[in-house]
Amino acid sequence: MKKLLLLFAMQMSLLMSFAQTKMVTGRVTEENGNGIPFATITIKGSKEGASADQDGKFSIRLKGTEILVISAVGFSDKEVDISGNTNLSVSLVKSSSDLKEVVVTTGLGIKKSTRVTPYSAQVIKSEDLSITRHTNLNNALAGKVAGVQTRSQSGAKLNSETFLRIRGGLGIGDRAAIYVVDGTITNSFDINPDDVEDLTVLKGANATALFGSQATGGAIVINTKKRNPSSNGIGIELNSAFTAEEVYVLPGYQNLYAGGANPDLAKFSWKAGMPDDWKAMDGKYYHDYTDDASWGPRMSGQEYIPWYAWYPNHSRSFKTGSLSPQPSNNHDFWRTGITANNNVSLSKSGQGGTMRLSYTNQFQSGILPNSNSDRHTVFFTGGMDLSNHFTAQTNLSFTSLELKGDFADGYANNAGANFNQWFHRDLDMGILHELRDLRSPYGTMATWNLRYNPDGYDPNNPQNFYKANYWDNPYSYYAQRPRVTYRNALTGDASLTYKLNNNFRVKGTVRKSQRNEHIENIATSLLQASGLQTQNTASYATAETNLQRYDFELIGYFNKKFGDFNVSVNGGGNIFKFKQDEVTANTVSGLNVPDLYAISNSKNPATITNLRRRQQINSLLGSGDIEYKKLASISFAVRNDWGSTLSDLKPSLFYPSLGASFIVTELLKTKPSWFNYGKVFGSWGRKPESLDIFATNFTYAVNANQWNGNFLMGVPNLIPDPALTGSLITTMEVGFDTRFLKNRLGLNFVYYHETADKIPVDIPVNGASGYSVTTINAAKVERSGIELILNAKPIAGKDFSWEFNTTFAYLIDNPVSRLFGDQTRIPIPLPPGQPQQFGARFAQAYQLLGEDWGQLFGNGLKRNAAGIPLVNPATGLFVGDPTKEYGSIVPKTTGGLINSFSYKDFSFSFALDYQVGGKFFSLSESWGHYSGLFEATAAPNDKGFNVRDAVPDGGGVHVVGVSTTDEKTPVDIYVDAQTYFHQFYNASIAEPFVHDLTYVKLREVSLGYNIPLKKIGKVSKYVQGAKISLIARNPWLIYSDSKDFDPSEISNLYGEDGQLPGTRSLGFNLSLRF
Amino acid sequence: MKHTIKRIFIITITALTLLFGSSCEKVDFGNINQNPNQTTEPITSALLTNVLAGLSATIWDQGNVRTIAGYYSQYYSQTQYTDNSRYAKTTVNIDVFYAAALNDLQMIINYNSDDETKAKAAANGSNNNQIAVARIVKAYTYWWLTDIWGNIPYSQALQGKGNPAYDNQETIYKDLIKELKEAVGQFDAGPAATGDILFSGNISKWKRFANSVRLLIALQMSKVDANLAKTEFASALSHSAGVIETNENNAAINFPGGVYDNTFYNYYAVVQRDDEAVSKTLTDWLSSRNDPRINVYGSSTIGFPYGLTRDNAVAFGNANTNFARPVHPSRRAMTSPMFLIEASHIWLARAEAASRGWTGESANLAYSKGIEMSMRQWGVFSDVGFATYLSQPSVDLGTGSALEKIINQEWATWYPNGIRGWSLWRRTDLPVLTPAPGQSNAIPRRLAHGSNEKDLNPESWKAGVASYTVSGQVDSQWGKMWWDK
Repeated sequence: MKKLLLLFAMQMSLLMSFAQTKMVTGRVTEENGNGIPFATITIKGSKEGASADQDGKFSIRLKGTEILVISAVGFSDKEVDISGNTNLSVSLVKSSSDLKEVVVTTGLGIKKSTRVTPYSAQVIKSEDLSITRHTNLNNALAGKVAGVQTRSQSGAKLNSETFLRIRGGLGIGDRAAIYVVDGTITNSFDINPDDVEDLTVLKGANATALFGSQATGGAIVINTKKRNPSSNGIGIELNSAFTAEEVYVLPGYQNLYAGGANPDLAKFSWKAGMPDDWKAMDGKYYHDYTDDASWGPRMSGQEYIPWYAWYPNHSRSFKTGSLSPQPSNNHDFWRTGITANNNVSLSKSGQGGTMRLSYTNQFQSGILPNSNSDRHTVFFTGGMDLSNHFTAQTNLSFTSLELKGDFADGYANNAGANFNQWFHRDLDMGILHELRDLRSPYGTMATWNLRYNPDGYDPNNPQNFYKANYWDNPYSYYAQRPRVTYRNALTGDASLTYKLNNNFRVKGTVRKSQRNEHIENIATSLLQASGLQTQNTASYATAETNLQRYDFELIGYFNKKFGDFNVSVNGGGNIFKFKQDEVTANTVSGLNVPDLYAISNSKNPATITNLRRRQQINSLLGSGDIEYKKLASISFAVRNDWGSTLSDLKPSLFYPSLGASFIVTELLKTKPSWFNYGKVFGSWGRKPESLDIFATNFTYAVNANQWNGNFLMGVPNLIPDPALTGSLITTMEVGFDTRFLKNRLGLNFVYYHETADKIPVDIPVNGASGYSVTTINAAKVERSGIELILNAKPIAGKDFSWEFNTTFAYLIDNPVSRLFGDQTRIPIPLPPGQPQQFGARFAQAYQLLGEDWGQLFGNGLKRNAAGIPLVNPATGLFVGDPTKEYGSIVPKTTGGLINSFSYKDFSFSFALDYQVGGKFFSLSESWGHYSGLFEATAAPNDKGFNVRDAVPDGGGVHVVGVSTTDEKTPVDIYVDAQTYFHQFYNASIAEPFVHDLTYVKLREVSLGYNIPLKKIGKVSKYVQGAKISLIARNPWLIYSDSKDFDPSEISNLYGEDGQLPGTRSLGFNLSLRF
Repeated sequence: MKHTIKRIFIITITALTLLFGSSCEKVDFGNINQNPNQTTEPITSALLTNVLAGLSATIWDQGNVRTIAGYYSQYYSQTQYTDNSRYAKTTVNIDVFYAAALNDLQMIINYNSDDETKAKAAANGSNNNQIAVARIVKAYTYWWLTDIWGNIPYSQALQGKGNPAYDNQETIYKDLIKELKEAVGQFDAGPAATGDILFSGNISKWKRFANSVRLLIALQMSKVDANLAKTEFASALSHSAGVIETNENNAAINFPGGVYDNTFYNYYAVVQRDDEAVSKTLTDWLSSRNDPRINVYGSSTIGFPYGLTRDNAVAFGNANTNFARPVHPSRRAMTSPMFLIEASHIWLARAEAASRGWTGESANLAYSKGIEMSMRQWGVFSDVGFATYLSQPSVDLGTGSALEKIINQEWATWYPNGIRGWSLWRRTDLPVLTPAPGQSNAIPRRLAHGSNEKDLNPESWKAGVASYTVSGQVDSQWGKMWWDK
C-alpha cells in the first residue's frame, strides 16, 4: 500500500509539471567556471522560480520575457534579462563572505543543501582528508567528524581495516558504518583516499532511512572526484608521497635483571657425552634459558655463557660474553618502514562528455620483518550526454592488493607479544639478527629459548637440546611464516538517465561491488622441526573468497517550484542481491613430505570448508524536501523492504523519517552584520533492522571427518526463536547551525537521542538446557549526546590566513536499559573478523543492565567500604573482587582539531584528535609484569632498595591495605617482588592493568610550499601548480593514560593482547597540476 | 508531448510492478535463506558416533578439567606451569558438556520417541535399542559430571529452555541406577543401533557395560549409605546379562587414527607439547611393589615429584629430561585404544565389596583377578612374576588391612582415569596422599563452577552450591560431595 501511495505522488507531480510554455535552461557558475550548486533562480517580482542542481544547472519555464534573479549563498545576487535567450550561462561574483553552499549527499546519491537537511550530516572535503595523504580512509577521518571514534590499528599491520564507531554503542555488539561510494556500498579498505572529493557522514535512523537496515551503524557517503564539465583542455595531476616509518610507542622495561626463572647463574660442568667443544665453557656460568620470563640474575656485565655459545659453527661459538642490559632490544627489532604513494589522474571534458581516470600505486614495506603491501587502484569516472534527454554515467574502481606478512597479534604472537609478554631482557637484538640463519648441528633453527639448560643435555637425544622451548629467534620465525593475501576489488555503477525536462528525470542504475580474495598461509617444516613446545606444526592453508553485491535501481526525480514552495521529491525501487562464496582448505597435523606446501600433502585428511550465503532485498523508497521560501522546509524519507532473511511472521520492514528545518536569519528584516546564518532543525526516524543470513535456521552440520566409515553430526548449540525479528532503532535529533562575523565563525550543534529496542541477542543460555546460545528479541540500548562543530577563520589576509575546524562530541549516556528476562549481564560478542575473546579470566567487556554500553567487568582488588584494598596480613597478597565494574569501553568525549595556516606560498596544517574516558585492559601488561619484563618489576621501592632485593634486606614491594580478616586493621608489609607480581595472574586480577583510553594525539602535520611557477618562467606554461609538502603522520602521542600502549590503536574491542606497537612516519609529498 | 509523458509513466509503473511482483505484503524468495551446507534433519547414528568419539576425553583431556582430576589423584604432575597441581582455584564451565554430548544423546532419545520421527529414526536401529544405548551413555556422562561438581542440573536439564535447577547428588545417583536398570531392560531383538563405534552393535556388551557402571556407582556410595550401596552392588552383579569380566568385554575406544587418534598420542605427537608427567607418587607406589606396570604407565620410570613450584619443576625437568610422560609410547600409538571401564576395575570393585562383606565372593580371588586383568591389559603379565608380585607383604591380602590394599590397587589400576582415581580417594581417603608441598590447603574435594553458572543460571547455582561453602568461600573446591562425608 505504501508503494502505491508513493507512485501516486510521483504520478501527480509528473502531471503538474506541464502547464507552462517556454523553457529556459542555463548554468550558474563561479568566475572560474565551477558550477554553483543549488543556486536559486527566481522570476523577479513573482514568487516563482527554480533551483539549480548540484552542478549549477537549472531550467525554468517562463510565460514571457521576465527578468531572473540568480542568487546563491556566498555570492552576490545577479539579475539577468533573458530576452529571448534560452540557454544561459550566469557567473556570480563571490560576496565578501567566505561561506559556500555545503552540499550534503544522502542515500541514492541524492545531493541536497544543508539548508534543507534536518539532521547531522557533516561534510569533509578532500583537502581536510588528505593533509598527509593517509593510506587508509578511516585513519584520515580521525578526529575530523564530530561523534565518530576511530579505533586505528598499529601501522605494523599493513592495510588493516580500522574501526569507526559512530556515537557509542547501539546494539549488543559493535556496529560498523557502511561506506557508500557514488551510491554503491563497498568496504573502507577498498577506497582510495586520493579519489575522494568529499564525504558526508550520516549517523542516525533519521538520516539513513533510505539505506534501510544496511546502515544501522551509520553511513560514510563518498563522492569521488569528477571532471568539471566546463573546464578546458586536459587536466593532469600528479601526487607523489614518500614516507619512512618507525616504531613509536613501546612499553617501559626493566633493564637490571636477565632472563630465566632462577635469580642465580648456574655453573656449567662438562660431563662425558657432551660435545667436546663445550669443554671450553666448563666452569663458566649461564642463566636459565628454558624459562621465558625475566626473573633471572642481576646484570652487571659479568661473564656468562650466552645462548648462542652452545651452537657450533659461528664466530661466537663456545665463547662467553658479558651479561649486560639491552634497553633497546625491542626497539631494535623493528625495521624502518617505507611507504610510497603515487597517484596520477587525467581528466578531460568535451562536447557532451567528461571523464577522469586515476591510477594510484601504494607500496609499503612494513616495520615487521617480511611484510609488505602493494596496492594498485584504477579509478574511472565518465559521463556522456547522449541526447538532450539521455545521459549515461559510470564510476568504476578496481583495486588490486598483494599483502605479505604475518600480522597475527593475539596472545603469544612472535613480535608484539613475545617482547611484552615473554622475553629475556638481556637479549641483544643485533646478535639475534646476525644469527637468524644459525642452525644447530641437526639442522634446526637456533634459539635463545632452549628447551633444556646444558645440565639437561641428553647424549641419547642430543638434537632435543638445541630445540626451542616456547620461542624461536623472532627473525628466524618470521622468515618461516610466508603468508600472502591477494585481493581484487571492483566497485562501480553504470546509469542511464532520462531527463524529460528540468523538473523530471528517471534514472536507472546497475551497481556492483565485488571482492575476490586469495590467501595462502604457510608454517614451514623447519619451523616445526625446530621447536619442542612451540606448537608450530608445519602447515599450508589457503582460502578463496568471492563477495558480490548487486543493486538494480530505478528512481524518478521531480523538482519544481510552486509559488513560494520549492518541491523536490524522488521515488523508486531497488533490488539488492548479495552472494558470498568461500572455500577454505588447510592441512591437518603436519605434512607428509617436508617442505611441500600443498593441501594434498596433509598428514591427516585436510580440512576443507565452504560457505555459501545469499540474500535478496526488494525495496520501494522515496524521499523529498518541501521548502517554503528559504525560510522553512520539511524533509522526509521512506523505504519499505521485503527481504529474504525475514521470517514469514514479519515479511516486510518500513522505514519512515521526517524532519524540519527553519532558517532563523531569513526572518530578520535586516540581518545584523555579525549574524549571517542561523538554522534550527529537528528530525525523527525509525529503522527496523533486517535479520542476518540464516539467522532463523536450525540445522545440522556434517563433520567432514569420518570415524571408520561412520560419519559424525552434532546438535547445534544455537537455537533461534522462530518469531525472531530485527531490532527497531528510533532516532530523534535537534540542533542548530549558525554562522557569524561575515561567516568567519561557524557553530553547529546537535543533540540526539537514539533507542534500539528488541535487539536480537544471541544470548548465552545455560548449556544445561541443552543449548548454549539462543537468539531472541530482547535487549534495549539507548544513547544520547551532543556534537559540536566549530569553524573559524580568525585571519584572512592577503598573505596570511589562519583557519581551524574543531569537533567535539560528548556521550551523555548510553545505557543498556534491558537485556532479557532478569538477566543483568552478558558478554559482548566481538565484531566479525576480530580475534577471539582474550583475558576473559581477568576481565572482559559485558553489557550490564542499567549501565552504559560496553562495561569492562571482571576481577578487581577487593576493597573495604572506605575503598582500601584488602590484604592478607600473612602473605601481603590482595584478594580478587570478581564483580569489579571498571567503566565503559567507549570514551565519553571525542574530538579533534584541524588547524591551517598559510603565508604567501607556504602552508602549514596539523590535525590532532583526542578522547577522554573509556577503559581498556592490557593483557600484555599483565603478562609483562608476571614475566618480570616491565619497569615496575625491578624498580626501587620507597626505601630505596630494588623491589627484587630480598625483603629482609630492604627489598620487596610495599603493600598497604587493611586486613582480610576484619577489613579494618591496617596492613603494612613488603612482599617479595615475584610473589607480588605473580599474584595478579594467580588470582586473575585485572585491575592494575586497566587504563583509560584517554589520549591526545597529533595525527598529521604538513608543511607545504607552493612553488611559485610564474617566477620560474616558462614552466608555468606547462605546469599550473606545484606543491611540495613535508608530512608527518602520528608524530606525537601528546598525552596518554597508558604510557606503554597507544590507546588510539587498541587492537581489540576492550583492550589489547600482544598488540603490535604504534608507528610514526615522516616524509614528503609532491603534488603537480598540469 | 503529453503522449510521451503518458508513455514514460506507463513504463515506470510497469517496471516497478515487474520489479516487486503484485503482492504488497510478501515476496517469495525461495529457499535462499536456507543454509545449503546443512540439513534440517538429525541423523541419529551420526549423533551417536559423535558422542562416543568424544568419550576418550573422560580419561584424559590434555590439561583440562579431567586432567586436573588426575592431578588431584596424583596420577600426574605438572612440569612447567604448576598452578593447578598446587590447587589454584580452577573454574570450569560444566554446561558445555550438556550442550554437547548430553544434548546429542537427548536428541537420539527424542527422535526415537517422537511419533512423527521415530519411523525415520528406525533406519539407524530399532527405536528401543537406540534409546537404550543413549540412556546408558547419558548415565555414564552424568556420573562423571556429578563426581566432579556434586549437585548439578539433572531432572530439569536438556529441555531446551529455562534455568534448570540443580538436583542433589543423592537424587542423581539413585536416578542413574534406575536409568541403567531400565536401559538394560529396554533392548529388544530389533536391529542394533548403527554408528556404534564403542561396541559395534554388540548388545550383550552394552548390557555388561551398563551393569558395570551401575556396580561402580553403587560402590561409590559406600561411605554415605553402605546399605543401599550393598543392595545395588549385589543387584548389578547378579544381573543375568553380567558385568565386564574379561578384557575382551572392556569398554574401549578404538581410534581409527588420522584425525581421531589416541588422546595421549595427539598431545605429544600432534599438538607437540612436552609437559605433563607421571607423578612420583604413582611411580613410588609402583616401584615399592615391584609392579611391572611402572614400565608402561610412563615413557620412563622416573616419576615427577608432585606439586612443585614452577622454579623447582623446571629445575627437576632439566635435571631429568627423561622424566616419565604419561603412558609408554608403545601403549599410546596413534591407534592405541583408551579404556573407559576394564575388567580389572570391576574385579577390584568386587574384591572391595567382598572385603566389606557385601557379597559372598572371595575377596582374595577377585583381588588377584583384578590385578591380573590389569597387567594383562597393559601387556606386562607373566605367571611367575605375578605370583611373586602377589606374595609381597605390600600386596598380599593376608597381612594388614585387606581393604586398604584393595583400594590401593584400585587406585593404581584406574590410572590414567583421573576422575575415578580422585573419586576413589575422596571416598576412601586412600591411598594416603600428601598435598602439594608448601600448600596449606588440603587436596580439593570438588571443582568450582565456571562463570556460565553464575552468569546464566544464578539462582539455581546459588541453591545448588549452598552446601559447598567452606570457611566463607562460596562454591568452594573444598566443599564435600554427598558421598564424601
